[in-house]
Amino acid sequence: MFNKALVIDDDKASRKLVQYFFEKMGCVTAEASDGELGSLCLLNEEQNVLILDWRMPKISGSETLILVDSILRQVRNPIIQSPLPTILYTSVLLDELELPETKYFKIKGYVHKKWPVEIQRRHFRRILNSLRSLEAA
Amino acid sequence: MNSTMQHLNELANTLNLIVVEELIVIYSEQIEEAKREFKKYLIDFQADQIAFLSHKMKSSSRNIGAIELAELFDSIEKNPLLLTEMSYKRMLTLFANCQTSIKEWRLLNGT
Repeated sequence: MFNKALVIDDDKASRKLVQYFFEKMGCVTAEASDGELGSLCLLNEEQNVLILDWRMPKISGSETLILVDSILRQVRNPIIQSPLPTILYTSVLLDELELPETKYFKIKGYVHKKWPVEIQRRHFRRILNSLRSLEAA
Repeated sequence: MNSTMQHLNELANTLNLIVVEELIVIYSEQIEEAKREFKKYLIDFQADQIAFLSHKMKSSSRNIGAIELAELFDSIEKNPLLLTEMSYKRMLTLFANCQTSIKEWRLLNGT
């Protein structure tokens, strides 16, 4: 069942909003307020989808992916078996993002924080539905 | 009706009153923290920290429909030197206006 979502974002209101959207779509959500805490969640518990902020203190979204990816590459039996679908949720423009090459994460969507909330909700729903269809197939 | 109240109405249509109220509470806490932090940075200038806090407050202000505040934070994020006594006072005024709009919206919606 494709229903476990992890939200990593330093902004509490953004986490609240995304958790609301995903719970409405039948997901169980977990949250982390920075990349370090998020990394621990990723390394300790299986997730079906990651919603990731890009600009965060301590370590950025990009650095979070690189950090977890590098740890998993050294583990004999990694908790993430196939690339984890990742949705970028940020106010950084898509053109300005430098996406890292990783083995354990696959960017499957982008939602801009500046979009109206209703548009954000529709985009998250469309992406999740597409991920669920892929899994069912 | 101002932009904040309009935006809160739109949020309530997409989400629900309980979630909007939670977002308002979170934002109100952030306002108080931001006031303290920016005041500190007026004395102890730290460009990176100012830019980062402005970025965070820009997103939060936009979420709540406080467009003028979001624009102010956007300009400070791009150029932290724009954090001055004058811009700080303007920030406090805009925060106060925003809190008034929130109070009015709460009264209208009984939250």
